[in-house]
Amino acid sequence: MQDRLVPVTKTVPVTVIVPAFNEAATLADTILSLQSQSVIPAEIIVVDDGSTDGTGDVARALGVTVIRPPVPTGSKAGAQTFALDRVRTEFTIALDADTTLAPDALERLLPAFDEARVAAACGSVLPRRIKSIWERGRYVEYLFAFTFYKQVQDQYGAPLISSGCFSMYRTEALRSVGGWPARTLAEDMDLTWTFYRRGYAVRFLAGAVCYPLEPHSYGFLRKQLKRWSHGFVQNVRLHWRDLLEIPFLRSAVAVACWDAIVASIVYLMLLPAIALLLGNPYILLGYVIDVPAIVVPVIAGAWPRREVGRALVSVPSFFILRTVNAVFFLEAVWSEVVRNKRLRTYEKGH
Amino acid sequence: MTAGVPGTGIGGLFYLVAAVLLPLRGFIRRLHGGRVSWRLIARKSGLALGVLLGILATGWLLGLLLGPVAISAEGMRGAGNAVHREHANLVRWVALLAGFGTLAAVLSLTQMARLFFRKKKDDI
Repeated sequence: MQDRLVPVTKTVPVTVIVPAFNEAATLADTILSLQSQSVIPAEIIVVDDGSTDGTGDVARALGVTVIRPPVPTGSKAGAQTFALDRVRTEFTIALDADTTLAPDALERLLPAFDEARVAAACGSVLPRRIKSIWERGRYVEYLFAFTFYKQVQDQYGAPLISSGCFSMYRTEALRSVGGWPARTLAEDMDLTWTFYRRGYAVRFLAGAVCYPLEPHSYGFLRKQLKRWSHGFVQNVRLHWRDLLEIPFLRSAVAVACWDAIVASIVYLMLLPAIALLLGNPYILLGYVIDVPAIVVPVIAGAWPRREVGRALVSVPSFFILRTVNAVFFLEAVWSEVVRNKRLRTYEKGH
Repeated sequence: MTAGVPGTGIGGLFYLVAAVLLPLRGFIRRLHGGRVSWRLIARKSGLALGVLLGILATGWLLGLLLGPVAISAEGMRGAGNAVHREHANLVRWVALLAGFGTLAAVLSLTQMARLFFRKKKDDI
């Protein structure tokens, strides 16, 4: 009689923390994607941060650990740090409750930690749903950034950020910095830059892919962009002196700041003003003059996924999203730096 | 997230230059005994070259599309085609130099800030 081959799935010393506030609709997909990984995490902890929609029940029904802070922490960073005390494994993963993983994502991320000084590692991000204009724009933005910018950053040993939606950490390093800091609206950027300051390394492994739900409507997009843009400015203000000592990262952040301010002004105000002043509509071609610079990395990223057609159709949405991005970054700089008015409210928006 | 306006500004140039320089960086790392993934470096440098070719193709295409329009407008005002071509070349070079010049200025300022604040820290 022939023996049936039973796939043996290895359990790895990883605890996954999933912070959740009213995520009953999406949480099951997230947990199921964790439970069907090619390597199995030792524990999955869902932090039910004051949900009223039965988020905890969904998680319990799928057999994972559910904890609830006595008082809602009110932020992703707070909920994640609350769970950190319970972690007993060498590695910790932070995963958003609206994000699923490719079946081999965990397995592909683990080798990053072969090097002892690596404290955090992240992978590629791609929207799970690509329907609305904003989701399509984000799809192109991610294909571009994760195929080109992020891989160059990793080659220079300084990924700008270990993405908050899916990252793996060395638990000891994470504890040594006090967990996820809640002092800015972009806890993932704050944590990444704190690791660099402490002499740790951060890695990006393109093959480990996660799929978050991106904003499908302008209302959600507005909340997300507000959080991201203010979070970026807050982190630059907080870390700028330390950043100056980190090769490549200091240049990448300086260039990003310049583009966030000057390129946004040129894009939103100068181009139309010059076109009007000279009475020459061809000046407006400046808005799309970099199409090939965008499209080449996007095709390179979409090709192995056999999504070239979908990516090309989505390119116009990217240009609309980019314009909206510029508005939000200018607003964040104006509010945080010029008016010194700090945004503190964490508004959830995927 | 991508800070700023992805693709536009000096960010695009910065990453393009960084990608083109990857083989040189790899070579230096190798000399110091570091591990280098030449396959990855070749892929990223190839991508950067693809982007560069794309940019050149756009410039060429725009010249083809807009050149006749601009020349006929200049012609109506009595200027010669040769003068126009000279101006077009000048504009192209100024745009290119402005981009790289701004990038160099921003990177130099960052280095200067680093030296300045390090000195200040040492003084304290």
